[in-house]
Amino acid sequence: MKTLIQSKFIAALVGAALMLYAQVSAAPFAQPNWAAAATSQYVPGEVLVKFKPAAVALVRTASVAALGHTILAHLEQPGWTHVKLAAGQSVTEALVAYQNDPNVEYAQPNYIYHTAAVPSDPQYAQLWAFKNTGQTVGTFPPNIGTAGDDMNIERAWDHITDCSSVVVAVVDSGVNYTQEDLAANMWNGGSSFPNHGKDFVDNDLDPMDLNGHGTHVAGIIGAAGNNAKGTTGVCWMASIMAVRVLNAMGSGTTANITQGINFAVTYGAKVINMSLGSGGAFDQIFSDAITTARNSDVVVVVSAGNSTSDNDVTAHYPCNFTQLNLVCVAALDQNYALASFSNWGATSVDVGAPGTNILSTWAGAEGTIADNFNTTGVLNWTTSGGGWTYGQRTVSGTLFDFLLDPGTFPSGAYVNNADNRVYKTFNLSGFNAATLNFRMQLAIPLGDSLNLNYRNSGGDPFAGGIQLNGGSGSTGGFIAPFSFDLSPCISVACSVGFQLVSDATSAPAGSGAGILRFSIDTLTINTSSYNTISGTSMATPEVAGLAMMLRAYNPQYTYADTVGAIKNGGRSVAALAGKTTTGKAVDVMSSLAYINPPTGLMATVQ
Amino acid sequence: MKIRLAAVVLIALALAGCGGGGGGGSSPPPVTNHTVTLAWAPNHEKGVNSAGGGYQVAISGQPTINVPYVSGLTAPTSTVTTLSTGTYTVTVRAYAALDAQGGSAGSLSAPSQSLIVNVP
Repeated sequence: MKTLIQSKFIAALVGAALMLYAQVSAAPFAQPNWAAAATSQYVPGEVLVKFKPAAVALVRTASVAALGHTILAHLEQPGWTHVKLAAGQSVTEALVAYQNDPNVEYAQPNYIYHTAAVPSDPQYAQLWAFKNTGQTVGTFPPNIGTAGDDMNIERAWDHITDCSSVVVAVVDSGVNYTQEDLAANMWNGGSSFPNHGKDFVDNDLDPMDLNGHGTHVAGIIGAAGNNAKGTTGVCWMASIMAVRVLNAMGSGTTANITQGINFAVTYGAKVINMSLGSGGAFDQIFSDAITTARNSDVVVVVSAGNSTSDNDVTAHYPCNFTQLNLVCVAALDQNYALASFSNWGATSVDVGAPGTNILSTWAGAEGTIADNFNTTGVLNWTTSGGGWTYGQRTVSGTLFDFLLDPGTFPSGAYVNNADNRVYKTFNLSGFNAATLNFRMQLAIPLGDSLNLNYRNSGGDPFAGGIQLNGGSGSTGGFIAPFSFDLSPCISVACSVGFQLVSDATSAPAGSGAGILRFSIDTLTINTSSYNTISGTSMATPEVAGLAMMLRAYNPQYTYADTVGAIKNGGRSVAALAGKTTTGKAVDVMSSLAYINPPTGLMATVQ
Repeated sequence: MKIRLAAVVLIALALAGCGGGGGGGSSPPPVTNHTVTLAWAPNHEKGVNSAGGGYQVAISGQPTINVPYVSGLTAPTSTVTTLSTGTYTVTVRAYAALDAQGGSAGSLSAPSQSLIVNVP
């Protein structure tokens, strides 16, 4: 990454180092010369010397020989000679000697230049988190950024891009381990466990992602870099362990998540990313799992949440757990303001990281099968028992197609002793995952029920089908969203239906159901999909990736060292002041250069 | 300026002479030199434990001691010095060649927790 401008800076640095060297010679250790020892920017044992025009070849040779040096080459640049120093002599000493030689006009180190560490990945220009040029990315506002508001990562790539020595567990919806930018960077488990991870949703050894979220997270951490494909992760080479604890809809349970954490710890992960959370009560077993990770020296990076709320007021777990191996991350937008959705917490959220319009790997191609229940105004679903009809209602000024029982809903009521069924068959063959989505206004009194079933062989889903949900209930006069995992129904003929069952007691006026915006979202796994999305879920893996890089660069790092470097190495950002424990956004290069204060100082007086 | 300094030196010598020749008062405790070994836990940064890295030991009223990396897996984590009777505050900082801009201007840690050393 060094540029010509930087080389001037380094030349100035060498000058400063020479001055320091003189001070140290006069008063040893009064000013410890830790900068002067930094010789990695030029070739040790060599200098370049420019002799004055009057210094003929014989004079040049004599000057060099007098210092015990040898001439490697006379360079094409007039007057310049490439010189090899005597064994054990430093470049600094040689430069002083040549500067005192009256035949010499100038002398300098033989600097080392590096290729600019910008990867070849074709979509790199959209990764504003790594290089914010003020580019336009995605659609989440504001989608035009401020140049320089990024993670300062390119300089770090001059020092490390291979972090494969550190296993990072993505505890999420799984990972598409066949994705073109991830396949080479997946954990392989070794001979005792030759898998990419584990699936605690289906309880098998295939952690394939049926949602996309986990694959997106994995790509932010470690999509293969400089491979002329797609994007790059925080590190170009990584070891990503896929731990599936969230289903196709992105939901999971305490039981699955804690099993996933323990699996990751047992199989050697040193960083765990959990872009998940809940605003529920304190979860003891979840907390215990974080403690287990801490006791095994594992850093756990979690998201602050997306509800625009203060976690100090309304706790959000796992963010609000207090173990010292935990780092909780808020999301910043492209101008380094707190993202409009991001939670915060002056005592519970630690750092911020880019979290809007983040481009990364995806599990596959997505599709939507939408259904509006009618053909030219006539219900086109199969019915039995009557009751269900097609109708239209205006909601907030917009006309929507509805599936209704009774047809007068939300006025009137359905009949007694009803068994009203309505269903339709969909072809879901070829898809890897399917999610059923609809919105509904519901008012079903106790004793009656509304059932939702599917059947993967078509026909009436209430005859030998599987129930997704059922019973009485009310949405309180509002229209509410509902989602269900329909993946088990994937087949050529997947029938989905609603059944309204009533007893002999009359339901009050206003009882019934109205369903709208019915759709089935599908996912077809492939190897080449990418997606741009926003969330603290996206900010979290930026930090987990940094934790991975720090532990790879400093193999002796403990969780405490790593967390210290992340928190203290960050860049102060006004939007995070009073909103996080540090007031800082992560800064990769600064964290890489950060040095934790020494500990354990003791004295023995004799 | 030189005259003033000389006067101070003369006064100091005179006072020392009075103290040495006086009788009847209690004598100040003798000032003695002691060997003091300072040790700390190794830092885990690669840069501290490689060329250009090391530690600085700061002792109140004394020149800073440089403890550079020399060879092997870690930089030295102790130093031996001589201190005379008194109370000293000691801190250690770690350093490395890499700086926060990715160059080699160097980085320095914050000081360790300070240690009070009483030399009898």
